Amino acid sequence: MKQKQILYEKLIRYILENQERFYRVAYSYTRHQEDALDVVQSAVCKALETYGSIRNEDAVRTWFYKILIHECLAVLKKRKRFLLSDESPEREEAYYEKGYEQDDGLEKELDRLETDVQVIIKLRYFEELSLREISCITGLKLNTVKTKLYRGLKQLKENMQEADL
Amino acid sequence: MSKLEIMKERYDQIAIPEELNARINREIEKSRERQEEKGRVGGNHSFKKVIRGVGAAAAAVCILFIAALNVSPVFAKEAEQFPMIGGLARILTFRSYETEKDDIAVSVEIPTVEMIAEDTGIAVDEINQEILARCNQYAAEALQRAEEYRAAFLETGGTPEEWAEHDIRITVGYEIKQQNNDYLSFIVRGTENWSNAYHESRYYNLDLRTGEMVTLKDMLGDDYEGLANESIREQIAERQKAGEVFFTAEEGGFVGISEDAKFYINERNRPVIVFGKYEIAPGSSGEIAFEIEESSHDSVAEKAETNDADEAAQAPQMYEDNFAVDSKAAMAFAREIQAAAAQKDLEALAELTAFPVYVGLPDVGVVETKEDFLNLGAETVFADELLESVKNADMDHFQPSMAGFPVSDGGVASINFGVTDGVLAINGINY
Repeated sequence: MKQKQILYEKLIRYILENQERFYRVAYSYTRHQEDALDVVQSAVCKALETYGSIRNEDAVRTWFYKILIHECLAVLKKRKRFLLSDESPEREEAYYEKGYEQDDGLEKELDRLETDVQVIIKLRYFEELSLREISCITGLKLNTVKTKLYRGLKQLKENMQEADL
Repeated sequence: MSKLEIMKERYDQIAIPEELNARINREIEKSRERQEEKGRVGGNHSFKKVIRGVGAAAAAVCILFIAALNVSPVFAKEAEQFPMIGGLARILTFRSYETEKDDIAVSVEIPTVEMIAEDTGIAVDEINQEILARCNQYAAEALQRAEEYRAAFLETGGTPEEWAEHDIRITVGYEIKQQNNDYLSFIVRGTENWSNAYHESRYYNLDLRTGEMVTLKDMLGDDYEGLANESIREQIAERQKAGEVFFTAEEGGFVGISEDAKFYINERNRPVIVFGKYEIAPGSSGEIAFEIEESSHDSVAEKAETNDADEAAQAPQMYEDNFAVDSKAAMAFAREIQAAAAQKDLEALAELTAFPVYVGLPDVGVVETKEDFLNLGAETVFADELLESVKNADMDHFQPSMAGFPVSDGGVASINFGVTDGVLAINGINY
């Protein structure tokens, strides 16, 4: 029991300390304030409900990100189902909220990548997690993470160069 | 500034709605109530208060945390590439201009190599003149091509408005790859956004010890061709496994590097051979780069890593012993230790540590758990002497021993790490 309480305390502390990061992660997927708030809130709710399942308390961070990313992707999936049946990735731009920044071409290119590649790039460069942590969060093998990251960056570069065609 | 950096910057600037904190607190409150209901068993009424106290402290921590974030290690690494004070030489923008005529935008940034140290006897005038001439020539030719395109467009019935919508842009710029006391490596690129046919990139690799342009032979030795080809073939095979598409030899794919293979020198002073778009893979792959490892030993180590990683899905780099760790990984791990020490971040240091760990403080000795370790306190663990030693550690000459790798300036105070259960971890702290 005591062990569990300590873990619970730790988790709450972690959430409070990192809430802004969570929000940024959520926003980078949803690009929508209200949706991002919802995502963070439900991730927090789920985390607090299931914290007992953390096997290793040192893994709180990767464990929480796993939940958070899952929530983000769930929202995107729901939107997709709601708005169209056709899965053409270009059409996703339609959901873009205006005013993310004046020039959000870069972010659009990022959002156009395969979902798992996007996740990896965001975690690596924006959240600055280690490849090892990303491997835990995504459940992908470390080498797969490396390759996908590498390929994603390549593709991004490529798309950006051609973005104006 | 790279595009990723721009994105990261914007990412960090994503505005945080005020509501966030309230909503999270509400969620925590709800959860706490549920906990209390369930937790009567524990009968701990002060529990709630304790957590509130933690919350307030956390808010204070939060501010510090954000401040630290802005000095991010990933970009700190990139920042190293920017002009350094006191280096031998650096790359500067010699001339930069933007023009627009007939809805053709031209943006040019011409680099120049500047020697900072005076007595090196290295003359860079010739290189600089060549760069300048090439950049100007490219811009002029591209402009002419664009004008021809425009003329043809208008002649065939296009309107000036439609032409303007084409948003034609010509860009000449450069990219610094390595800039230290050994090498200057940079790429000068010219691009036209309406066509790939005339893209041009020139790779400049200057050896600052000799003042000569570096060749692959200089970097890899006489058998540079064999070494490079072997390494590239291995890497292609690996990437193919991961689903990347390369042309076969019949389709015009990789058959071996040419004499004038393009390469740059990366931040680890290794040559990286670059293939242009369409050269060995479909255009969608863009440019493809291969870092060539130092020796066959390294590629063996890498292979071992691959196999192990395949076997143990979540466990990265499993090492058999300290001698199996390549210097690259050792250095990276040592940097993590340095970062934790620099910020006196005990939590971060604990993350890197395998318990039980030896801590050579009076009355301490072996610390059994992370909890106990954290309880020692950052001030105690990060004694001044230790911080000094770690900060000034000689990172370039890591020699493994049975005991592992010491991060120290040669003195007694050190943080040692080595292979524990197959991964790198701190295994002792000496004072």
